[in-house]
Amino acid sequence: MNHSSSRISRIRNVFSATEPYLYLVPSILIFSIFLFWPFFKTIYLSFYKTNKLGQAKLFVGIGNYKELFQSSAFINSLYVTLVFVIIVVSISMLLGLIGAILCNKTFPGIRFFSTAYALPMAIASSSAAMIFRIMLHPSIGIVNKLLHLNINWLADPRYALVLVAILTGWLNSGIDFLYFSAGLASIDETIYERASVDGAGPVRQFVHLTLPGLSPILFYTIVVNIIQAFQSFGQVKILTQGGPGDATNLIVYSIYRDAFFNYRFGSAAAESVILFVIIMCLTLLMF
Amino acid sequence: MSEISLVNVSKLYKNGFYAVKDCNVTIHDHEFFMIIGPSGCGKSTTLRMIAGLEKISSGELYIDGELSNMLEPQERNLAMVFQNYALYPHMTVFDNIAFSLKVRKLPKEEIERQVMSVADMLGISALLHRKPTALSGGQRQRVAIGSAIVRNARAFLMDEPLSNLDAKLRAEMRVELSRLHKKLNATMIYVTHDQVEAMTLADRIMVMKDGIVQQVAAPMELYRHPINQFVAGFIGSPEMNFIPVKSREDASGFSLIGKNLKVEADETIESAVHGDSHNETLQGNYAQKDLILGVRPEDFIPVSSYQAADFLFEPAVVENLGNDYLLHGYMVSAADPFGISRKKEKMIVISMKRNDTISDHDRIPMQIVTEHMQLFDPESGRNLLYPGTPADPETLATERRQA
Repeated sequence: MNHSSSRISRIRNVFSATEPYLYLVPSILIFSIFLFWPFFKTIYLSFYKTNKLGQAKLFVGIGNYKELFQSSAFINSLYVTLVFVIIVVSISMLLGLIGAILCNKTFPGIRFFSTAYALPMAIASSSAAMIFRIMLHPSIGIVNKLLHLNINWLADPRYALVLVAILTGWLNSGIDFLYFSAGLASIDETIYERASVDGAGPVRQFVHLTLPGLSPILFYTIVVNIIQAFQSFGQVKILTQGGPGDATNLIVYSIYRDAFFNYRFGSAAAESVILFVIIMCLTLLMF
Repeated sequence: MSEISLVNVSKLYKNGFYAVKDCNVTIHDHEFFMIIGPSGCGKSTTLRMIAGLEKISSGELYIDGELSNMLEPQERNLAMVFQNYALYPHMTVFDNIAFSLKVRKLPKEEIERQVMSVADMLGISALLHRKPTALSGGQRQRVAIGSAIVRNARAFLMDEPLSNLDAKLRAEMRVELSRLHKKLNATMIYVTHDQVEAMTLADRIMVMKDGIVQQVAAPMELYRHPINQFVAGFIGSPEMNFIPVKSREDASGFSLIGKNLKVEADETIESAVHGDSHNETLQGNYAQKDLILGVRPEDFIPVSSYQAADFLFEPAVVENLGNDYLLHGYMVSAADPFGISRKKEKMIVISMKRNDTISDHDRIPMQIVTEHMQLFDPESGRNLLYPGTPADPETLATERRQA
């Protein structure tokens, strides 16, 4: 009797110890198939030369990496990506912050404006890129019509990167608007009242109260924005295909081109690993 | 320091609701001025209009004789303590107190000297490097007060600054504030709904109800000569007893008769009831009409004989407060001591000192101190015995507006 009851309690103990892990199995399985396996496969491929089907054929060690760092096209791609990220993050955060500050007070029509500022979040990057393409069309585009200019915006290396960055910045500003609105709502309104009685004007209130109040969310938003900007692809694919020349050949587009146009899967995998390391380092640096 | 005047100041919201209506008052230099009233009476709105945090819908605000309606809060040179303290959460106590001085670009040494002096005064020197989240309620309160008094503002505005503290701390801070006012000799405008705070701290009190100023007077003046039934009920704890009565004149003289009460009235009361009192605005003749007799809980005297009593008091509940005790109970007619025909009335409350001698009877013969009793018109709530002009505050406001 005693023996069987102790066995039951042992089984119960084992079950209660393993039960939490059982709940994790489905998600681990999905992550393993769609995330961990491709990730490790990418690292594996980056050490090989592949055939056109993407199968590893020849082990070259860090050969792919060496080639990349000696290639001026890849260095250009890194530089372009860096400039792109700086423009995108600045524009998206600035637009998001300004929108959130404007919508922080209640006024008639606030719902309309809030929706308008948050809308880019709901637009797919490819559809936005298509609209942008029409707007920037050299002969029928509204931009040239309004400015009375005749510029082929997306074919000019001076404008192409900036314009793709502006579009991406605007697309990302929707979610930033949402983050900043939540951040502003959590700042106690009475500290602004006290500050104005204390003699502080709007600029000083913004610098000394709003920015410090937003700092936790500001930091998070910067990290998310940088990661998002590094991974931009759709708008480049539709607007410029990396061109003119290599002016908008962002690293993700370069990976895509290497893998699916040039069938150099090994080199593309090495680029992916480098991109991963850059993003990881930046994230760790900021945390 | 300064004098602040409100002339017919109103706050009207878009939905037509008056938060404050025709407020007329002058707050004198060095005065500790209290604004008191129940929730939603417009007291905080009045303070916020003075601070510039709410726009004035109509009327004029003068600070030191200067019309200040259009001045931004920054330009008024007032300091304010908020109900929730409004401390800057990311700044240390030092930076919180120093903020208004930094805004004014004072030299660093001067800022440090002034902050240290205020911190010493409030006993928070050891907390200067802490953030507000690491402070207790009382400490935050001190920091908020320190942040306000650190600069030489024209007046200090306080919006229910003690309402978030527990009873013991509130009592301590009351004493502290009183001490501070004496030391700074500053003009202070203080909003509260706690009449104990108002009575203990104020030089003058303004009582508000539904956005309308009811009475502005010194604490004891309000206590002893309330302008109407609302003020009488609001000021004083426990509340004044309100007993329905009628006047009667017979062979024995003029008296006030309630269900279980008979009070011999003096000449002042008689003339007030007959409408020929010194009250110019009191025109109605209240003889034979329903009236409300107002008696404070401490204005009852136990007497030894039934014959001398105005009524008999039958205690139902005794609240022991240590030095005093409060008796809650019913009135029984002195003419019917056994209460055979006892008519039920609302309970009244009587305050007794510990050493008051009370007879052993179940029913205590009681007399009312006629000198301190008040008599109200049940319809308008006016005090018939108010020595000034007991006009309806709204009528007065309208008259002022027309003038």
